[in-house]
This record gives sequence, C-alpha cells and structure tokens, in this order.
Amino acid sequence: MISAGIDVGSKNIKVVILDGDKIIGKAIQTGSDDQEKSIEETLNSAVKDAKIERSAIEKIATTGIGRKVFKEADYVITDVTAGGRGIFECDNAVRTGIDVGAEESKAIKVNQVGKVTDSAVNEKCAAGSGSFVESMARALGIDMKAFAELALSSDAKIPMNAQCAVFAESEVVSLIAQNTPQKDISKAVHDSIASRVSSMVRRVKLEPRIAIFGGLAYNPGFVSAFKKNLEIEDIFIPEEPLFVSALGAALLAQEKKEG
Amino acid sequence: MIDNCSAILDEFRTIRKTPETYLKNIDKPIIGYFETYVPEEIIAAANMHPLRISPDNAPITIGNSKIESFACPVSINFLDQLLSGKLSFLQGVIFSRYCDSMRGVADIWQENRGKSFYHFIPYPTIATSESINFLSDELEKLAEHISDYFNTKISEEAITEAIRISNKKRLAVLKFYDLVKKGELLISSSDFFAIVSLATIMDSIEYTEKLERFIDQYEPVSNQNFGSNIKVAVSGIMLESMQFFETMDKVGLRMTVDDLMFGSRAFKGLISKEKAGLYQAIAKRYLNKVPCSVKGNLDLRIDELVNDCRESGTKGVIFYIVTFCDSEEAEYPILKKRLLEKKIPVIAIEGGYRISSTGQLLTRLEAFAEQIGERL
Repeated sequence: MISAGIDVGSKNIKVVILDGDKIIGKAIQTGSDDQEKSIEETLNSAVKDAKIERSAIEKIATTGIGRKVFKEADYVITDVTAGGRGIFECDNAVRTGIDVGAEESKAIKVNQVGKVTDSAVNEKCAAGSGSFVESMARALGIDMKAFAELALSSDAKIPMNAQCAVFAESEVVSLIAQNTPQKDISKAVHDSIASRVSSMVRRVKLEPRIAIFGGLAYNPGFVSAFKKNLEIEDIFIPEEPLFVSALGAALLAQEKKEG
Repeated sequence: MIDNCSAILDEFRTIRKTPETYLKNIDKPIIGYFETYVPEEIIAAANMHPLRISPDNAPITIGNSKIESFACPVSINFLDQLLSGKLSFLQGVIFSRYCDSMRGVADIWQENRGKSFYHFIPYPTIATSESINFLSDELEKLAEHISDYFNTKISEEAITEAIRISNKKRLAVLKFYDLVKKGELLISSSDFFAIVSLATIMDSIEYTEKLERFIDQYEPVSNQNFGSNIKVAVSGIMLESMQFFETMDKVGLRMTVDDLMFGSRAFKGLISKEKAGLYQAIAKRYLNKVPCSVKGNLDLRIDELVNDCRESGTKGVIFYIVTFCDSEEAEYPILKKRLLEKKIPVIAIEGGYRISSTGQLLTRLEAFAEQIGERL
C-alpha cells in the first residue's frame, strides 16, 4: 500500500510517502498563513520526489499542530502517537523518544511494539523549544548553525535562571552587556534549554534507548548539553530527525484497521 | 431520557452557564467560601446561603497588583474577583487555612475588605482527637462571629437541620456518582461536571430535590452518542473550566469518576451524631474526609481513586495540575507511580483557572485517548 504521512508543524510541513515500509518520497516546506495551500504544495513535492501519481496514494494521515487543516486526510493522529510510532520504526530498541520542535518539546515513551505508554509536554513556556534557541541566536546576531556550533567550544558554566523565553532574552542581553564571549552565551543558552527539556523528560521516567528527533536534533550544542545533563552518552538520532512524525503518520495510515 | 429528566438537565446546564442569574433569586444573605474545608452547615444554620466561589473565566485585572503573576493562578483569580468588586453581592467571605497562596489571598483581603464580614478558620492539617477538639472550638467561634456580626442566633436545632440537609445532598450526589460509575447513568463529561459543581452553588434543598428527580426519572437512551466513549477519571484540586470538559467530550473521553476538591471529595463522608456535640461532629467529618494534596494523607486519596477506577472500569486518569501549585507538582510523581503499579495509565495536564492553550489541550487529550483507547 502507498500511504502518505503529513506532519503539519508550527514552522515546517513535512511529508513522507511510503510504499509498504519503504520511503519512496519526502518533502519539507515552511508553512505559511494559508496552511492548506502549503500542505498541498508540500504533498505535491513529495509525490514528485516519489515519482508517482497523486492518485496512487491510498491513505493519508496527518499529524502535528495543524493536523486538522487538511480535509483530504483519511486519519488524523496526534504528534505524540505519530512521533512514537515513527521513532520506533527508526530504531525498535528506542523506548523514550524526545521530540524537540519549534514551539513544543515532548517526551514519548513507547513499548516493545511501538505503542505509546506515556508522554509529557513542556507546558509553561517556549523556553524548552527550538524557537527559543532561534530567538537567542537572533539576539546575538548570529545565524543558527554558527550559534549551535559555538556552544561546543566553551567550557563555561553560566546558569540562566529564567523560567521564560522572554526573561531569558533579558539575561542574554545582560551577558552581552558584561562582554561575555559569544561562545559562553551560546553554551549558557543550550545548557538552559537542555536543562528544561531534561526536567520534562524525567517526568516520564527515562528508559533506554533514548532518541532525539525534531528540529533541535540537528543542533550539536543542544545534543551535547542534553547528553551531559542526562549523563547519558548513547542517544540515538535518526538520519532525518525532522521526518520522524510524518513517517509515523504514514505507517499508522497503513496499519489502521478499517471500520 | 424522558422529557422531565431532559428538562432538569437543561436547567442544570443553564444555571451552570449563568450562575449569577440564579443567585439573584436567592432571597437570603450570601456568604462565600473558596475551599472545601469551610463547613456550609454553619452558614446555612444562620439562615444564609453558602456559596462556593469558582474561578471565573475572565482575565485578571487588578489581582496581579497584589500577588506576583507566577503564583497560583486560581488564587490570583479569587483575589481579583474580590478586589474588583465582582463579589460585592456577598455579605462576607470565610477562608480556611488551605494552602500558602490562599493564605496570602485571605490576608490581602482582610486588609482590603472594608467592613464586610471576614472570617479565617485556622484549619488543622491532620485528624487527631486534639485537632478535632481544636477545630470544633474554632467552628464554634465561627458561629459566634456570624451571630454577632449579623445579629442573628445560630441554634442547635438550626445546625441539626442544616446537617440533615447537607447529608441528604451528599447522599444524592454520591448516588449520582455511583450510577455513573456503574454505567447505569450515561452522561457526558461536561454534564457530569455541571451537575456536580452546582451542588455547592445552588440552594441545597432545591438542588437535592432536582438531582433526586433527575436520577429517578433517568432512562438511558440506546442511541446516545458519546463518540469513542473511553472511560476516564479526572483528578486534581481545582478544575472548573467547562471548556476542559467540553474538550473531553469532543475527544471521546467520558469522565466516570472524579477526584477533585469540589467533586467527589466534597461529598464523601457524612456528618454523624456525636455525643460530644454538633461542632465535634462537623469537625470530625471535615477532618476525616478524603484530603486534598495540601492536606496530606495521599494514601487514603489514592486508595479511593483506585477503587473508584476499578469499580467503573476506568481506563486512565487525567491529573490536572494548576500551574505553580507546588503541592500538586510534588504529589504527581507519587500518584503516577502508584497508579502505574495498578496498571492505570495517567497523564498530567497543567493549566490555569481557564484554558488558554486550547490546541495543546486538544492534542494532549487526543494523544491520551489514542494511548488508552482502541482508536489506533
């Protein structure tokens, strides 16, 4: 069966097309204010990548914050269930998946068949998500990639106590005013987000193997700080962390029983 | 449901939606209280209407000028309602020693209340013979304060009658819970919440009479649609957002058990006759009831919750944590561990007195439904 999984995230739309369990096409596009149009465009790009006709797709499942927007979806699945299924497919030894997206981070525990058994979400503030790192990089006037890599060259331990992304930005401004090196500020920001995500993850009681996916999995500064915070070296990062939930949705679309 | 029963349910829904309209027709002075530890019997015995104040759905106006915004949002809302004059229809308010935030609200209101009636019950945390004696004395002082302030008399006969009325109400509510638990009364989460929450808002005699009629005349309708109809329990201290329960309905999660301060915990346990007197009897009931997280004895609470879940076939527990409530934050890991030991899945959802992040709430509830249900 050919199925499509569409992850309508708060920043990007990701599509995975599966033929059985084989990925035959995928696409990613930044969302716009016309979400339906953006979904349509991303799906068409994935169809082109898969070299199939759109009509060849038998089932479509949507997930993510905008999962209810696309009217053609056969199934609408939360990103908790889709993410859990997707990361389990990437490595079936994974029992705790940590999805750190643009606006939300979540911990998803799965059992030995990939079914979600527990989950937690950051609820107080965006200080535990990708957009927080982006706004801190902006405050320093550095692009995201360079900002993430800078953290790796610092050994400084500067605590950031802010409970909220807005207050954290004030702390960064104070550090700039004190002529704190950029690499140390970057490290402080990544330590701070790693600490917040770790606290949230501990609420579901960590069980190895642990995996990180979502946009922040590409950020070496975060991954390094996160490993140190949890004191765990073996953290699995899938090849394409952004597509995990879309993959899970595409798989669930095939596995969903009719009726 | 037969017509009469539907009419009663509609009436309950209307009152829940606009309680202020209902309260305008109460022809007695109204005394407000905030926590379940203030005995309504003593207020009723003074021929006054005891009204449990709920968090309203309005944004905070001046409450944050007296308490930091990172304090318990429910407490800030209560203070806001008091300071902004929304509760000026009350003849007074009674606080009890509940949590640190509410203690702060009580102190601030004492300084800002003008001449309106104010009383604070220094409520003990644990139930021992000494603490029962202590609370009994304090309740007597409360009765004297009401009598002096309002120039009225609270007789033993009036307290006895108030106890009888409250006990009768508790029995009716507990019967309602029992029927829902056994699946003999099918009701949506939002209607369940509306009916139970009115027990501490409406006149007790009128409420009991309506609830008893509703129960007597109830007949299940075979085509009643509850979506995927996954039975869950809702636990926590204060959850008063109708939007939360309506979202549960939307997702197909049906509350069959609750463990909320003004839910089942407010009604379990009757006041029995005591040789030592009426105040002793009231003190004993309130100190021995299933406690909130701020009062300790989590074992009793978890045992009750587990039993209720088992009897009702509940598939999971939603634990609602009021943001910045330290007691609930501290309690959750223990409650979760104990429920998981009993193979009962649990999810913690954090929020304020009103739901601000509706998308996230919907996702979390849907994810829980996917986790415990048969949807995927």
